[in-house]
Amino acid sequence: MAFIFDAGFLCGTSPLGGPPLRFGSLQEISVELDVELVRNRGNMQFGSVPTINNMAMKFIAKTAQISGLALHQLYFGSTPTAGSQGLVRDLVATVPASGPYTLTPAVPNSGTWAQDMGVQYSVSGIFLVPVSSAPAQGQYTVVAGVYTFNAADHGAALTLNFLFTQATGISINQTNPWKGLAPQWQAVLVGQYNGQQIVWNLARCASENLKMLLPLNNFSIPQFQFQAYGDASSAQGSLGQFSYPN
Amino acid sequence: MAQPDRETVYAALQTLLVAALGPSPGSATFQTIQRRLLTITNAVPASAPYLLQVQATERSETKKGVPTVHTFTVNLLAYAYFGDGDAVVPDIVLNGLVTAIENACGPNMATAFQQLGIPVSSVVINGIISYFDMAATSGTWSLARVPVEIVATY
Repeated sequence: MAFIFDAGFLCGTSPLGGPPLRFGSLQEISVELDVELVRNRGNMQFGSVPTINNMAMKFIAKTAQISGLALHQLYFGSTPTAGSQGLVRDLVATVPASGPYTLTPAVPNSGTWAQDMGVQYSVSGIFLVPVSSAPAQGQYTVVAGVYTFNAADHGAALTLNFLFTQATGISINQTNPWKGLAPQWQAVLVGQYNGQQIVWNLARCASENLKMLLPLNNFSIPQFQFQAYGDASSAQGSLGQFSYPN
Repeated sequence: MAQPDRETVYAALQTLLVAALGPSPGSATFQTIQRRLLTITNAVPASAPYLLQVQATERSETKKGVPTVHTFTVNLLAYAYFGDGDAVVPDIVLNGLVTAIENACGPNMATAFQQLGIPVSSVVINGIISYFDMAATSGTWSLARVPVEIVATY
């Protein structure tokens, strides 16, 4: 007999390679074993000889830390590349008092400006309108990170948002592949208390659901759902190894 | 690993604080770190800043048939001495001391939890951090009380 205290340890290993991916800051895991019973009733009211038709072993993990590597290897079977996008958010800038009426906001992390995410007047919150050339008052053009405004907007306080690229981080250009096999990965779930552990080593899992809420004034706790399947070790396959202290 | 008992938990917190914030081998944020409460009237300016670890409460939650979960609350009291002058803003000094305590009690980057290496379930600063100024014959002292909550089973 054993007790389990706390959310335990969960690690996923993708056959694509790379490190075993520990689910960081695990908040909770639920395990659900669904058994679909067939009731062979015959002529009897309650039936007899229950048989199993289908079984499913489902896991839902809530984890506070988000790993892009885990997300993409375990859900999409994708391999990341170096480099990432970032957002410069709510950058306050002022249109020069005299020409040229341009702004070239600094890009952090030695990055490169990538895409405009909008310009607003800081005082009123009204959005300026992007145009391809010759901006009138309330309009602007932006080319390669250089914002150009009309002379009538000189001295205006603005709030800018834009995307940029940087060498740090990882990114995945997610493709839209043909229908087919889901990415499969090994999951190891460990619960413990007082020196005793249960270890569920699941040979082949597939991810089936991800919920991520970004709440106001609180941390996001993504919910990650996966299911265990039999591996290719035999005709029947093996679900995995389940270890207990006694 | 077996679960630690009460004294092991408190001693482990003290060890963490001394290692991170004490004169040796830590960063010397505090000159004196101890588990004995000291009144301001007995505090010595040459030994300041002080960091005192004082047990406050223990809450035991037990459900029938399940081991007890203990929540230990510890007050970490930071004393900083300012003499009689007004050249230094006490809040600025205390802010630095409290931030150092926060960092010392912060999570292990690998596990995302602070478990004192024993392990306990978690160590977190939880509650209201209070600040006081007090006058003593030795001069002006400023205090901060940092409530730390430790969740453990044993």
